[in-house]
Amino acid sequence: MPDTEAAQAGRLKFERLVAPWRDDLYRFALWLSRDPELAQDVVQEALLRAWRSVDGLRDEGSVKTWLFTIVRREHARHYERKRLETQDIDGLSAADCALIATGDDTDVDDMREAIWQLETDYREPLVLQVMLGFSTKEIAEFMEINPGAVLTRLHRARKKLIEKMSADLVSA
Amino acid sequence: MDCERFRAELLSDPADDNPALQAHEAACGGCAAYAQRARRAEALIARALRFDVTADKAAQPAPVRKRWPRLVPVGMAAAIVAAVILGVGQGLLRPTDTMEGDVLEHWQHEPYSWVVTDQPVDSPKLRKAIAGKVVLDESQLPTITYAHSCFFRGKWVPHLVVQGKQGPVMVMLLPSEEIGKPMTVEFVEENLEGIVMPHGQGSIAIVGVEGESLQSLQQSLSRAVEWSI
Repeated sequence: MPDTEAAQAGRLKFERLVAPWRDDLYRFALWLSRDPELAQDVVQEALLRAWRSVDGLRDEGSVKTWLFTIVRREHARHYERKRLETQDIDGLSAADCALIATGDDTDVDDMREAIWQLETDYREPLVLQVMLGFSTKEIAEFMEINPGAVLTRLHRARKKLIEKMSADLVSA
Repeated sequence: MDCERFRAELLSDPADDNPALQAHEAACGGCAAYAQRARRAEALIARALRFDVTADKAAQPAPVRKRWPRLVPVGMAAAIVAAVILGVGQGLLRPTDTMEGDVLEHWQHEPYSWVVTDQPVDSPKLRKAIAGKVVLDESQLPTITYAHSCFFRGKWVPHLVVQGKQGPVMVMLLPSEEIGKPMTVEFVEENLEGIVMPHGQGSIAIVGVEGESLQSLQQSLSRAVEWSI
């Protein structure tokens, strides 16, 4: 196969693998970073890394974990780089959370804000389980913690959310 | 199973269909009520996590949305949003085999850049978008209102939006996409037209609404753009 055809085939393969996950990659990056602009950067850089290493992906069935792992690592890199910058995280988060508000469903918006305010250790496994359908074992491997710790974090995350949302949940 | 364990396991994974959990819920009124609340919460969590990506990104450039461009149907915004949301699953956004097709596909992918505004993009954003690829003489161009580095045909390229006479115009600077002769771009359903023009060792894609003065923009871009890679 000539080089240009091989390049085209590689590009098509990459797009085919990534397309189904594109929106969820951004959602995951945003739930990790709580910063829309940073999330965009993280996803773009993660996609670049993925593009460079797609030939090393032996099993296309593992593309989901592969892509989200790259996003997670890329986020960690950004976090390391930005760690020394001083900023008002709470103020930033409140303002940015408003960006993803629906405006027409206050219960969802309230829940979104409550999730936004969860500690990352609790927010991340919740996103992986509920939004991405990861099993406890997969979350444990992904986050490099033991399954018991995953279950504890998920329990605490939901407990906090239910406590915060108790009035809405009773009246629902 | 006691109530404390029931609630802990329920909140760890509400989808768990462990018979012991079901048995406890059936036998304990307090935990049954708690489980109901947990399930309401779970439904809200699922909806809250899966926010509308297009709407969120639309908020990023923070331009002043004054109106949709002339010649573009009012319903276009909704149509684009729907295309982006549905397209991922249904193939609308799959890569095409041609440069023109890829340009239009990319246009579909960033609808939030497509706004009429007089607010120029922040200089740091513009510099970041073009860094290492292009030396740009902004004075030759209409107001640049959007700038982002985008992944296009396997490369990171600057994607700009300038304000033309008829509305926004997408400009993609493609330093590594050498073409022999200009290619026309048409997207009849959306009243779009454009051109991919050769520029040195690369090319420049320009897409605007029908009737836009693309020729003068081509000339301006020819003067304004110099590849730096």
